[in-house]
Amino acid sequence: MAVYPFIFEIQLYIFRFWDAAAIYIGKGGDEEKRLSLIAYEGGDDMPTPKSREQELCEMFDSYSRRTILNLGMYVRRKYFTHKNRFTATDPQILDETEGVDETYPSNSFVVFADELYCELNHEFLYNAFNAMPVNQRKVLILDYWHHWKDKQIANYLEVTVRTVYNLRQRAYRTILLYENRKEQDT
Amino acid sequence: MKTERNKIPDLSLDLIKRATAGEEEALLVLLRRYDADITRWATIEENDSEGRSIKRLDEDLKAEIQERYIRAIRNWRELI
Repeated sequence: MAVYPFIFEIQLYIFRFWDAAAIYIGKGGDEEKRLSLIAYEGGDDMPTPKSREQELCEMFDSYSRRTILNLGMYVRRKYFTHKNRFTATDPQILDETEGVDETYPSNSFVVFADELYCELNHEFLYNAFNAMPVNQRKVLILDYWHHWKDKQIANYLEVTVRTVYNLRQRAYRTILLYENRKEQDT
Repeated sequence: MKTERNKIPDLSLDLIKRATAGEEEALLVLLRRYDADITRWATIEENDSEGRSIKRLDEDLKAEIQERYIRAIRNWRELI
């Protein structure tokens, strides 16, 4: 009865020795190294490194977008400050231009659909576009402004060609509705 | 032909180098690529006679942003 704990202790020592030997030989060491490397690299399926050209293009793209954002904010601020000052403190020019109807044909209506946009000249079209869901707007913009084919639009929106057709038909119906309303108003 | 012209152009190192060197064609391609971003900043929100909010494109603002952007592209040369 007294021998049993002694044998158990010997077994424990043997196991410990075996583990230590395995690490010393390099069995466990390699596995550990591999695991630590995977952890360091962020997993087995690590993306392939980018080429220098790709990196530069991405840097330029980011630079351009940031520059346009800064310029846009700066120019708009300048424009609104000037507009406020001009209307507030220059009555002489207002006298000179009295009775002159200034029209800006370039000031067209703009409709956005996420990353796409289009310019419109008729108010009823603008209202119709704004009443449409984004996907219908996208279909019309890609079709009429970018001249894409239905298949290309379907690929872009990740829908079927039939869906593109349906979206376009629904968009036409909305435009027709707003055109009728405009005629009724006039 | 129309489809090609209206596609959003891709960036390439050659295009960037030509644009930073001031080549007109390359600059036009870049302006076309970032047209949506520029237009977004050149759009002004106004209220119509019925009090509804409408968005209008101001060509003057757009031209100014485009001009300044072209100047900014030339500064990129120093960053490469």
